[in-house]
Amino acid sequence: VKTAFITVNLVLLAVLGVAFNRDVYSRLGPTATRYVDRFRSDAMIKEESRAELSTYYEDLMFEGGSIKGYLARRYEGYNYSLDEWDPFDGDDSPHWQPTDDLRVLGPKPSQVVMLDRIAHTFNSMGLRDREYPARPAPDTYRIIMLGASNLMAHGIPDGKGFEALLEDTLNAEPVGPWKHFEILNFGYDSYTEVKNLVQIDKGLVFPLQPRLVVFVTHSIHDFWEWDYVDLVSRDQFAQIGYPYLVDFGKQLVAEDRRQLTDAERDSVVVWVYHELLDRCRKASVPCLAVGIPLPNSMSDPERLAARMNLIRSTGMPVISLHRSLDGRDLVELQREPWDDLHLNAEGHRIMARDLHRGLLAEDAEFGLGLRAPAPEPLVTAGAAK
Amino acid sequence: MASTALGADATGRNFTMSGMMQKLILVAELLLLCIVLQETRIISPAFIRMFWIAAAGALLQELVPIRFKPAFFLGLSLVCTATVLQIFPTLVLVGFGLALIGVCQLPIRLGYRVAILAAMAAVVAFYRTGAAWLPKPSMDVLVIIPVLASMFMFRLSIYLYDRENTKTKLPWTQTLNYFFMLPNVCFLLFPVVDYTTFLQSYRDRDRWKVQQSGVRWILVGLVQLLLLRLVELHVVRDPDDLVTRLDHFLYVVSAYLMYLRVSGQFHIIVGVLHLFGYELPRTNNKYFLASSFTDLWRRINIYWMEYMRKMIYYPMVLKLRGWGPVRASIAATVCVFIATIVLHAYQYFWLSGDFRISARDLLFWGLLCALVLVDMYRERRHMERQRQKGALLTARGGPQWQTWLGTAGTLTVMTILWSLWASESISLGRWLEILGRVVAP
Repeated sequence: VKTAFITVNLVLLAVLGVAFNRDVYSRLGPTATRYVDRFRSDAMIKEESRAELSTYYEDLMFEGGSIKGYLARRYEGYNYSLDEWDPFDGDDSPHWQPTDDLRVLGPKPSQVVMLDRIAHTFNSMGLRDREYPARPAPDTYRIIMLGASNLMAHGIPDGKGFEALLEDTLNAEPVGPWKHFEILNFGYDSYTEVKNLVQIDKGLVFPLQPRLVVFVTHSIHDFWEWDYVDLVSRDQFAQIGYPYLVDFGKQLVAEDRRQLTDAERDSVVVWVYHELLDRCRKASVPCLAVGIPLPNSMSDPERLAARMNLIRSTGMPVISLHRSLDGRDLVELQREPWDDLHLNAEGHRIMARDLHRGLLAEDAEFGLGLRAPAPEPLVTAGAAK
Repeated sequence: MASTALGADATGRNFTMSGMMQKLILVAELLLLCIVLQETRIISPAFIRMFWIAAAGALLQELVPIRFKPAFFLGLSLVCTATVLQIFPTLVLVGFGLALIGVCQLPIRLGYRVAILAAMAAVVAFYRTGAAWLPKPSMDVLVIIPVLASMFMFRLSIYLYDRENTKTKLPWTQTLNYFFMLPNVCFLLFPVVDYTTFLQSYRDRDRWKVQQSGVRWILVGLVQLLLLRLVELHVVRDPDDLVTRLDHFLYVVSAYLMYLRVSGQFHIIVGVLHLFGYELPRTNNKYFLASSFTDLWRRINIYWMEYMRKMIYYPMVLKLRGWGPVRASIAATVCVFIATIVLHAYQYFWLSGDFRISARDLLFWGLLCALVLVDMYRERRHMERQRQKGALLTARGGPQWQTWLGTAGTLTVMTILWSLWASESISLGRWLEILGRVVAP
């Protein structure tokens, strides 16, 4: 064994160890930091490269046959329909109940579901939240948040999601004349805006008398599409309900497609936010959309900002947190090493902090009534920022 | 104090390195490897976690008496497996694995043992398909199937084969090490390690040299995976977004480059085993520089080639020797490729849950088989000519430029073939259109 050989080993290892240390490369400027961050994130591979090439070995060494894919199944039950393991998987799970609308499935009320060995408590209204009275007290400012799994705090202990943390913060530091703040978490896996519209149209939201309705969104994948495309492929147009989406589905069938183009997705976003805004205005409740970044290199700030601008173009007030994770190592904010679609507890803490700041900053402009309650009934500003 | 010849200094004199210095260097190398794995995140977090334990184990084994070192490796392998799978699934894995090995030991005819093993595999296979009508055991039992399969799907056949063809008593601890070897739990796609080679590669003395080659193999694997990341960032193209000729060219070449992931991981696997005294041969050898298709077959995924040679090629040639050497060799080679197709689908099933033999698979392996056969014919003719001239027999010959030409030709054809294989997301017509854009004047 030659000294030169050992020296090369040690030097090369030392160089690699230093070069990939984030404290070191982040001093080289934002461009270099972004590049090396992407280099270190296999989320990039999964979303970008992996989609384009499907070699035998690539297939085996990624999702299906990799230890990462294996662990994802091990802990999440992906690809297994054994309801005793993953209560969120499979139509016959005792924790689901079918809906006769575009949501397809929904949670059963009053249950504690173990997911990834973490208790997810659902209250008597079927919300992942504590119990609330049907009507808020007069001195209580009630917010209803609608969104998907990150709002539900998928895989995060009860009370540690950003919605619960924000509620705690608002109650610890009350704003304006309000003595109490309640945030009702309507978040659920895959419940993005189109399913939020169904929740509103099913009369689940406004009877609870919110003073503000918040739609939480992010930049990647419209997860509702899976259920939608499935319904379209089975000609279940009655269950889809909305004529716009029915026509859209018939167009997909005519063109023998199972995917929406980016332009089509944008048009659905515009349509759904017009509808959501319309419902909130009719109910005279202010509303806004909040864009949260995900710990995934595909969810880059510009992409989220573009989506939020599109939403803003509909007249919906918008708080975009697309810069909230700037300077942070995204991998360290992932819920689990194999799950880059969900924030961990630290990510939720950041979202709660920044959303709190955003709400206070935009209170007056959006007419949220946090500091000065408007006379009943509230009328939303609904203005574009 | 023990000392080892290290080399020569600037004056040409030999000098030695003390045992303590060797240990310090190894500590530094392993610590740096842990840091590099942690910082680059080039491999799964499960492996990074496991490697910290393995590195500590590689250092601690120096304190273990020589005769207990294999047992120490077995214990460490099981601990590492448990850190990834947790304790109960690991116990299930070991229990089922011992049952499979136990069947191989039964004092009954080979055919009966194979039948029992096949029946056991069939039951597990039904569960692997996720058939809803089966009684559902605990998820902790079900989730170990891919890991169990990764450890036993090929190695069990080699073990059974070697057990039948050897008269010596096989060592139990090393047998268990062979099946439950440490890095396997983190790499479900695992090189098909040969049982006899595994036993013969073990060195219980002079570990320093073996460990240094292990560190080098891990480093080589890491560099290959880093290069692959560059390929993924800058070379891979979306077939729907190809505009320039360069885009088309990069789309075609990127597929073959993705094999760096396999070779990189295999180098790391073998490197980890070297740290514990298993001086296994290399798994891939400069396959991009293969000068012919037979040469490629000898360089790429060498363990697979050896497995096929041992289990299919030689038995077939022996069985068909009445046909004459040329015909027997051709028939055996065709059988090797047919077995490769079927066993790749078999492997795919166990690891991912789906049985995959696509038209592209058949086309790829069929064309590769034809090219290997043509090369075999050319090599045989070359050797015949040399024999007639009374020259020393060599498989290759000719001037250097011919070798380089062969390398360029093999690389080009393999790049195109691999691209064809990897482009399942687009139609054959679209792939030909892309290829046409690359080669069109």
